[in-house]
Amino acid sequence: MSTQRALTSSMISRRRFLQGAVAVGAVAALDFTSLSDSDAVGPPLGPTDRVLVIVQLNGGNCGLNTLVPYTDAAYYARRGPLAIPAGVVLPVGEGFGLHPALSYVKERFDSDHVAVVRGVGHFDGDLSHFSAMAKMLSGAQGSEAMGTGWLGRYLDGLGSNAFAGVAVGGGATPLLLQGERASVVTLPSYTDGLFGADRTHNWDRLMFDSISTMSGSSNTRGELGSLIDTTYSSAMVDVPQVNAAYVQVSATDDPVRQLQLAASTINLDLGVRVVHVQITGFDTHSAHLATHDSLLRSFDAGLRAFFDTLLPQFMSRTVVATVSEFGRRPQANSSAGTDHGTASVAFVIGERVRGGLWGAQPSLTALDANGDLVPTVEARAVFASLLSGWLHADDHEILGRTFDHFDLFHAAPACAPLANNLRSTSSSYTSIPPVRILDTRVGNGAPKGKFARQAEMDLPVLGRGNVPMTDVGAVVLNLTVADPASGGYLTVWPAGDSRPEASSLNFSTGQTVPNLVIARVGAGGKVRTYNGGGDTHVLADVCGWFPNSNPYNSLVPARLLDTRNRIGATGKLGPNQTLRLPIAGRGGVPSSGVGAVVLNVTGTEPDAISYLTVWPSDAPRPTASNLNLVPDRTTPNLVIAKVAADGSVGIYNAAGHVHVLADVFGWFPPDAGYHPMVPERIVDTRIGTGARGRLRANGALDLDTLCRGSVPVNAAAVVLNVTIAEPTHAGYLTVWPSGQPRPNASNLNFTAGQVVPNLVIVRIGVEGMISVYNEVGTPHLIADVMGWFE
Amino acid sequence: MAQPLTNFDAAHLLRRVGFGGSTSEISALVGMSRANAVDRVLDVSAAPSVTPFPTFDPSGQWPQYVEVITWWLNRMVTSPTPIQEKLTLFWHGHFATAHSKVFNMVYMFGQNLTLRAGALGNFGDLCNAIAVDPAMLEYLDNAHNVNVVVNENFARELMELFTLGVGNYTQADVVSMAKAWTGHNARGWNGTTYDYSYVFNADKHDFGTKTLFGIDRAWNGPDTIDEIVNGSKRPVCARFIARKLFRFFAHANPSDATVQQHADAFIASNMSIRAVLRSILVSDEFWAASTRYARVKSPTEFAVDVIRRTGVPLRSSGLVEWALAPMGQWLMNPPNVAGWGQDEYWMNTSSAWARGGWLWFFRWVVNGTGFLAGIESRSASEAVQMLFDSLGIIEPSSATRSRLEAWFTDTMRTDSWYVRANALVVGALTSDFQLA
Repeated sequence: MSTQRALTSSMISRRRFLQGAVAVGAVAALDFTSLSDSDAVGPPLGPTDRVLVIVQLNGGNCGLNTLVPYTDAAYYARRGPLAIPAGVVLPVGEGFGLHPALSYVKERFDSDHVAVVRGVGHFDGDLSHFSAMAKMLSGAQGSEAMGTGWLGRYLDGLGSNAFAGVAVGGGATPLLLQGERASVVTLPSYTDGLFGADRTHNWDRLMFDSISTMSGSSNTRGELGSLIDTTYSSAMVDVPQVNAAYVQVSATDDPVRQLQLAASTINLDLGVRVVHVQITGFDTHSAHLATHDSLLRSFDAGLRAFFDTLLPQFMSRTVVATVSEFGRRPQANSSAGTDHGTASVAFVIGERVRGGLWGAQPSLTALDANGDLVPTVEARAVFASLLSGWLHADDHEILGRTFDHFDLFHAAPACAPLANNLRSTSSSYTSIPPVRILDTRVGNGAPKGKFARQAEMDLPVLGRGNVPMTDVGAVVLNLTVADPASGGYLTVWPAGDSRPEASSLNFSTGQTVPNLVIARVGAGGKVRTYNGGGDTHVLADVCGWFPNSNPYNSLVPARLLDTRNRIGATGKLGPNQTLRLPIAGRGGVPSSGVGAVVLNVTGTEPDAISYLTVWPSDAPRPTASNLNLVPDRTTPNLVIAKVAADGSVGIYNAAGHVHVLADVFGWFPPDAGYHPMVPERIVDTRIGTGARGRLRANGALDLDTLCRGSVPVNAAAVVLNVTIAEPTHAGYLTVWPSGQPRPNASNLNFTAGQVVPNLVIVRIGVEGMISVYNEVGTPHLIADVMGWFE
Repeated sequence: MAQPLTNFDAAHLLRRVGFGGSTSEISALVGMSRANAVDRVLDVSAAPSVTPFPTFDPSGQWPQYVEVITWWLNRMVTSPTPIQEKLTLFWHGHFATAHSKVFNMVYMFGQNLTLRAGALGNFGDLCNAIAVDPAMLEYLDNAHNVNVVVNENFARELMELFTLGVGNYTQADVVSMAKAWTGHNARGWNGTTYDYSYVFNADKHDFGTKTLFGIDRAWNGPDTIDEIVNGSKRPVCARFIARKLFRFFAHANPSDATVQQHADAFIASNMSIRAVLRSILVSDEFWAASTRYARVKSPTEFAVDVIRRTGVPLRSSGLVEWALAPMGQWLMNPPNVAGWGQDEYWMNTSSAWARGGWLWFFRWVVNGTGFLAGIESRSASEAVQMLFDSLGIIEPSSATRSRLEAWFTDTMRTDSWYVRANALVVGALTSDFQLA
């Protein structure tokens, strides 16, 4: 039985038993790296999907000492020795200060990432832990009993992703996550390896696989028998994946460990949507001050560990919120402790939270008959705000009635539109989902068979893919050669013009090389291609276009630099050496009024592993690369470079010696709607910039783009130089706007071990994200943003 | 109307009142009437002595914890009167206290003795004993409840969780109850150590009149229990405890009428625990086919049953030291004052991995013994039958049988040496075994 087949059958059995029907097939090795499209388990986290982590402060957290009203004399009068001195609180405005143990919360509060909701309680509370907790977790009203939790009912509506609900810490499944149908994965804090994870030995595999089919036949022992069977089947199917979460967990003590485990479970990208973590001990009937201090200290350390562990790619989609069944009575009891009270505070923490103080503080001079605070915010109003504002769920349906919402979240990433916005017109560039318009391997766009050496080929582009028939000045193509019989280059230029002395793509024998091309559309709505190398297959994906009237000035390509032939400079560029290349006034580029130029830069005959960086030479050289070099291989890449005030760009070589060629293809004026930037690295999965960890095979990664680096919130499309590093297999990468179906096109093709860059112009999708799909293997991804379109 | 016990009936009764019956224990009950069989299992006159006590290794709380829990689990494994241990477990979950707050194994053990001694006696006596039990005094803070400023912790839970249930008292009752229990404290610091034992500090007691359940009186602690168990709240209390016992011993969803029936027996006996339990165990509903296998074994029930069947000494099982807590039942450390739940409460991926993980270890401990010896030389059907017999699975489902036969055949093909060790794991993880 192949891995692929085994997996398929196991997933079928999961679906089936989740539907309460009969499972089929045995489960053998589970290897998600071999999933193909048709087998994919419900998508992991999509770009609009959100993660909510609930931290339950169990026992009734003391709101008064968590958010201290340190300017209120009544607080000190009521609390007496249990009060937190004004001098030690961490002020957050309006006369309130956080408990001194909450240093991380304070840090995030100062970044506007923390909403503190005051006065949260139950309007019909009875001071019982268990009825308050039942209300809090079920979202029920009054005395009505509900056997499901409000997040369990939310999970019910999500469908059958087995990992949507996760409870960390062992113990019973929390009521909060219990639904009618949803299954919840509960994870112990500690394990030396979950049962079923060690599949080393055949005899154990046979046992685990047998256990995983316990739900395979209808159980004659009723609901509890079925529950046992499905739980074991589920545990056996889940185990290889979730066992991996423990690898990232280093903390040894709860709750820090639990919160770290929560983050590392989200990091697995299994589609986790709701996580429950519990911190116990808040029922401080005695020794309140010291106990509460230590609890908040752990909570704060846990939050820090959580956000430190959470991968950058999930940061903007994850929010942590606290719940607690009630607060404590203002007056101390006989044990220097506090008895059950009413109102408390709730924290909501995350990048997209509208930070600040919410809700009204209950008065300390108008207590109820029991001497308790009078809640000002019904706890379910906070739940409704989380359900509706964060999870985009129907809070009315889940909670059974309507509550006023707190507008706790930014709808979009929070950063300012670019202040020196020069144009307010619509985008000059139209980015479209890429469509393959040429593939000589299959006879798409040209007869089947390789493009012959020294041949020319016309490629019609108007009306193809999503390119309109009229008013198209230039198209943006991603061009790829595959399996060339010998090295050489391709030139793309407007049909009807004479062939320029320039290359759009350079390649060596047998290499698969992609490059972005911006080509002016010539006679008959066509571009023309010349093959200056051996017979080769050619693929072209069209991914955008500029209108005729656009401010992008497409040129007949012209060579501005060829160090082999004393054009622009002479001799190889040496290690750590920078070459200043004048652009303005050359090759059709005007001598002034140039904002950015489109260059095809090629490195050839390198003798070391290196990279080239192109940037406006009057700015400090950025940490970014335009193309990566390996010895004896020719590497091209399109560059859209901002030009320095003197009309030049700098070209930097990191190591070894290399010949460099640069052909100019066009230019943008400064107010073109295109904003060239000094390149900024917004993704480097090797070190955790933007995202951390290798891409998964047959997996997509959604990346925040807006508000990353200097990309403003009003950018419509970005120009990225995307580089693949350390690929383990030959494969391809597709980049497209998040929220759109993944196009059948590639932006970047690579072979094992190769470092391959390519320029990508991509429209920004939903939630300010772009999606990156990786076909096979587990490469690293680097993306440098070169500029953006309005 | 004699309804002689079948094999299945006898096994059912022994699963519920104990930790699973052996073949001989089952046979001893077969043919008896329900009433006689129930009286027999409720007869604890042959209960083993509670001495010798654990030695309380002075080196620390952890070795003492291991000693005490081992002492208790050993009784579960070996006692000829397991109902006593089963009820002690029940009352531990009911009058829950946790070592994590009490932090004194001597008093946790003392409470265990108190629960065992009162397990089948008068409910009011048990409540009174627990109210002044040192571990409870510490756990719910009555150790420090004094008349200047009261501490409501014990007062609330006494009504909410121990006797009446939420909705059967008011917040004003909680305050009055707390006042009534002022002065019922721990001795406290005596100059050299903290003395957990009970003392009545008259000077710390509020002797004033309080209104409790609408009655104005100078309530003093034990009076309130008397009022609940023998006075105006008796019907509520009887229903509350009868329901919980029924859910634990029979099934989780009794009708109000069923609960009332057993509450009536409870009241008629002046609140004898033995009487209400007997009422439940002899009822038709207890013996109904739908009641059999209507419970999920708790981790303790599950593990003790496995250990009893395998005959391996408890001390080599790892159970006390590490295995029970991840299964969800850390004895003497319940998650909160409400104790543990039941049935669905015990079943999720975390506990499933934990039960499997323990067996994955324990299989090698068992493998050196005679348990399942020779299974590898049997045919698949004989081997699986041997496994069922060894684990006391007397009503296996056909699905389980065929699944295990297929597993046995596959394993024998390539790895026959491991079939015996793994048979314990696959067998004990069946729903057939895990249901009680």
